[in-house]
Amino acid sequence: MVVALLEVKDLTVRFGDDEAVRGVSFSLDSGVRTGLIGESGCGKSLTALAILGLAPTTATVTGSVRFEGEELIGRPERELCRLRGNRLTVVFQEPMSALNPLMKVGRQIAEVLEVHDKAGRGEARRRAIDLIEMVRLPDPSRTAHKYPHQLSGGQRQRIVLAMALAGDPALLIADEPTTALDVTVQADILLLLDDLVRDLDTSLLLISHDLSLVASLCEELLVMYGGTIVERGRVSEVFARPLHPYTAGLHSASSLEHSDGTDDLRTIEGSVPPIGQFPGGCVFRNRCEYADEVCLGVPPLRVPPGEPHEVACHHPVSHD
Amino acid sequence: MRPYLRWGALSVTLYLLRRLGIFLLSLVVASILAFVLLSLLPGDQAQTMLGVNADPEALAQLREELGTNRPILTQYTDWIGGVIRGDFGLSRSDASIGSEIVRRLQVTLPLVISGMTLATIIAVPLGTLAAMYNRRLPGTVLSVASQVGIAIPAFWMGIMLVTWIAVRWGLLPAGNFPTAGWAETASAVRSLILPVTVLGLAQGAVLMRYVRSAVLEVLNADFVRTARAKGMTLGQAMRRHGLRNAAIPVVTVLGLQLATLLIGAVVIEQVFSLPGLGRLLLDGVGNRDIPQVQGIVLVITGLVLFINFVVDVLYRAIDPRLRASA
Repeated sequence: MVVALLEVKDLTVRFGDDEAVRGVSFSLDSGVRTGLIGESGCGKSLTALAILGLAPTTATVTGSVRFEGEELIGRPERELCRLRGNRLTVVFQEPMSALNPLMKVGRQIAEVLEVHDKAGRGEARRRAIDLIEMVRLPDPSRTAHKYPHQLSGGQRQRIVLAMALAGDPALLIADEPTTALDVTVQADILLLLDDLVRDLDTSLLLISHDLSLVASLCEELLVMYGGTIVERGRVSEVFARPLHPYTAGLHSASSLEHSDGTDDLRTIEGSVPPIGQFPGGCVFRNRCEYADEVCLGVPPLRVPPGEPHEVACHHPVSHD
Repeated sequence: MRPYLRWGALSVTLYLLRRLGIFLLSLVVASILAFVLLSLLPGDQAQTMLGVNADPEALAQLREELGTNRPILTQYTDWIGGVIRGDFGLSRSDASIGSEIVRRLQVTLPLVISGMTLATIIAVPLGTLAAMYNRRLPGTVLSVASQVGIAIPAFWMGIMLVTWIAVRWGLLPAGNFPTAGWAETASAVRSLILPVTVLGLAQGAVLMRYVRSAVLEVLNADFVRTARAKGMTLGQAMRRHGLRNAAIPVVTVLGLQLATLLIGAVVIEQVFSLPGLGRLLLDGVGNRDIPQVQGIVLVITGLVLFINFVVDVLYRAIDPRLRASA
């Protein structure tokens, strides 16, 4: 039997009595690029942190995360450290603050190799320069000697990317990697990310609120709302026939072709409630135009008849 | 791209020269202020010495002798010229102010420097632990201990130590710095043990709170999370990336504490009857001994400016961002 690269089952993250991530389940196969999409506050980043074992200490994480067949939840910190930065790596959103301002960037990259005993100090320094070249920064050996404040946001994110790829990971989690950057820089970084994960044959879990970005980079799509996965399938299928009213709303909100009668862009009514204040039953009930009394019950994630992908909704959008 | 100056020898030398220039200029301004403001106080030296009912002729004669009837600029250049040669003039009791200040500094400087060293040795590890174990039992215990340490007045702690350790158990002297000074090394050291302990505990409790909040701040910093994502444990991430970042605000507080203590140690000096600089200043003010006060104020200003200079250089050594705009 082929073991999935990453298998998440019933992952739940609680802060006291409030569930910020509720029973998330999905699996990723080797070499596949998957997008995890949703509005701010829906639990995307927390899901990523929980997978990495880096959720805040105030949070309680339950459920199961199996990476390359091994359970990560409840694993001793030492063993998690052996995976992190090595087989399982991450790029965070904020390149401005993600690097230590007091350390040269070359050193910060080299550190990854040293921590995992992949190279001694001198060898690690040489490989850091190679990695800087790999992320296409000019004059790698000089750049290695720069401090983060001497680099632009885009350059810093390239350094962060070099750190994340230094250990030759099986899975790279990229949490909004371009959100903090200028639009022109965003495109460059995405292109680079796309090329690198292909070249290195690394699986990618791309977390974003930007549908078009996920559409251009990913094959599989997970749509998250209110701490749960509400729809999943191949990107092309979900985009062609969004089944969940939330996905449909996101889709038309981000598409210029869908405007309402007055030529304004469509929006989804209301906003994401704070953690702990989602309605019982279907989490999208209070913002959904199709909601009725059936939606008081939690909808299971299932494949509706005649559809190629899964949705958690009592009233999936009809495309007939 | 903007060219950045390398952290090379030239840049360091230029920086140090510039900073030294600022230091000397500040010292000149401070000396003018200290001299002029104190000289302009109502009730001049001659008047204070002879009393309010003094004979005007005697007053005039004394002013002539003291030179205080000359224009203030002449008086200043005269004074500062002496100071540069190491001559601070004579006090009211005809003692050399310069050598008295030097004698007092031999008590105050060791007291303050050892006290702050002890404070740092206490505060850095305990403050770090308090932050790492924040909201857990060890963190709470340490925070409470530091609060108690801040709340206890230093003089009271001093009196308690004198009562128990010096008087009841007779383990250490209650101050009594030897009149022969550091020539009697052993008894000089012994006389400073209790005062240094009090100073170290009191200042350590304050410093510990700053260390704790600086470390807490860094614990939540993105770059520490990045370090953990690289595969470091929280402890490794803090040692390699966290503590040096946390040192920046702590160095500021350390500098301020040192500067304040040059005079602030007077409370401790009083409790342990140590002949320190703070007490000399208090005596000078009490006697309206203006030349003595002027001398002490100038020396203390110089020391404070020097501490600030060192803090500035340390900042630059720790933080490369400050080296960019040289």
